Amino acid sequence: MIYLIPFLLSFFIGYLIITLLRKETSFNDPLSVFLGMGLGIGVSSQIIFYVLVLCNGLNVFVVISVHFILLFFLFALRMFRRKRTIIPQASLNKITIVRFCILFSPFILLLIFNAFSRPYGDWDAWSLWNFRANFLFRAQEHWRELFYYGLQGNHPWLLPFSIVWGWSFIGYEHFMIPIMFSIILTISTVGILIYGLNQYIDSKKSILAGFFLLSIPFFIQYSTSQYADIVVTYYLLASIICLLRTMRTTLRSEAFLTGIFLGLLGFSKDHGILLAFLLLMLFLIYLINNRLFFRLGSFLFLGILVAMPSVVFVKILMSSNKHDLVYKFNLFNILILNRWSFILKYVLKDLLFNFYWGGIWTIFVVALLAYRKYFLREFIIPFVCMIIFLGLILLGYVISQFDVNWCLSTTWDRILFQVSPLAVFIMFHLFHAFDSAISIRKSE
Amino acid sequence: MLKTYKLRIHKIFYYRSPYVFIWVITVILFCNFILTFRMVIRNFMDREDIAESYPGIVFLPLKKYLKEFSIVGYYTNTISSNPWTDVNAMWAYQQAQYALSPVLLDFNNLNHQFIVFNVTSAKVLLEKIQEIQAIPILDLKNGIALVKRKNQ
Repeated sequence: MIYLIPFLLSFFIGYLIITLLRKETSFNDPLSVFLGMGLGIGVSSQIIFYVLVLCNGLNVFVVISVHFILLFFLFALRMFRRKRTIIPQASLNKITIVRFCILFSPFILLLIFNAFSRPYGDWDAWSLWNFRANFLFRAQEHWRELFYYGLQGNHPWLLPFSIVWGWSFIGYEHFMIPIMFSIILTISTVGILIYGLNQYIDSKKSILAGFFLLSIPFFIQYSTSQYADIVVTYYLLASIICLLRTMRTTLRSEAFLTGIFLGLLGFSKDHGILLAFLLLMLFLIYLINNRLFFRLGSFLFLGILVAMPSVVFVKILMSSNKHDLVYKFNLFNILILNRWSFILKYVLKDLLFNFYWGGIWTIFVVALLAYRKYFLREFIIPFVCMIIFLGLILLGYVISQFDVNWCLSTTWDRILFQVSPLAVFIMFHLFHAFDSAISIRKSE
Repeated sequence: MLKTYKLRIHKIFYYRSPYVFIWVITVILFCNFILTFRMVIRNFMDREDIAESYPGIVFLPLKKYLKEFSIVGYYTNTISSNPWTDVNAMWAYQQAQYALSPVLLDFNNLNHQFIVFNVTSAKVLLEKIQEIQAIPILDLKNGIALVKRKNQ
């Protein structure tokens, strides 16, 4: 139970921030709970970052104090505002959360069993992410040396910082913290998928979407591998749900929240930076086209600024890493047709015939073809972002200097894992749009 | 006539809506659940003991000798055109790095006072130690050792 407490503290911070931001509107409580979880973890990772920089090393006392001060401050602010607010605040809908827990308990048990099968996670988990966390936890004032001499892997550090927060709170390193982190973030991803979809479609279908996502073998496998991919998966979906809400409500507070999640997405991994950049560009085009830029643009950028210093700091420090090898490209590889055909064969085979993907990609393509006419305008941004992202990743494989088979076998499924909840989100929305259109036609 | 029999996915979904999609998803969900259940049970049955699965456990005895250092050398004789994508070379190196953290291991750099050796045999280890004029501090057998250079 003690291993849950740091994440509970983070959750309360995140949830309070969301309730404070969304005071102007009625909101779906369970969605705020699951968004609050991720936001809180993001805030905790930012606190760890600032403590490391300002105290020149990890100071556990300062880290815990800042968390409690922030929690107290937010709680006081909420109490203070509650007395003056005219719009009544919605209370936590316990039944829905309880129903969620009961319905998904078999899947949560599978997640727990799978996580405990590999207590130190898969290869990249202990060699990159957990290693960074244990280095930061032990190194004290030498923590910057990891940036110069550490292992390759030029990714931002939200995951290690979050693990360091857990260890700082309990006072020692324990494998339960990364396990808890991955389980909590997986459940939150499913939570935001269901309650995010529930804003557009009825609850039965959105619960079916959650079941479908959690039944995919690769989703269970990668979400408990303790890789940073689950972090990207969560923040990508959270950013998109907030972005869609911003488009629908045109509220400044929603734009600010979208900005925060986009910033945290950028702090999760390099793929997160690319996804955040693509989403931001597409959203800016939308804002300019709809003459909303001056109303929402500044709040969006203000939100992004919350996590931006940490991303820039880590990337600048890591640029001098002597073992950096991630970005070694050869543009002439574009001319090698064998490379293209090998990549396309591998990708198509994986998408269509890999049983561990549980048919998600086949259904996704069929749903796109069948229901393409019913695509809602606002869903074009996440869909285009996903397609451009996958296209750029494939281009990256083509121009990479490394053995293409090695690149594909080690990363391609993880890339698909990052966008799999988004695919389910789009798929179910399409089906619902089609179903609604048919119902209207029948009633006429 | 040919046009009439042409496969049209959206038509199939149109006439059977909304049940086709729901049924397809439900059947696939059921199959996936069985597949996932099997995978999880198999993973759980094959799990290792928590203490034994600690990454780099064989390197842990070296840790007490390296307390005062932030960076030491690491040497392996695994020959590879690109060691960073070589599974064998990286597996051992990263395990050592994890276990000896916060001491950083400078890959295949012998210009440090202390060097962690992880070579294929004791013979190779001895030859390399003589070549760089070093003395062994701790020999863990199987080519794993901590050595100290004399002239540093």
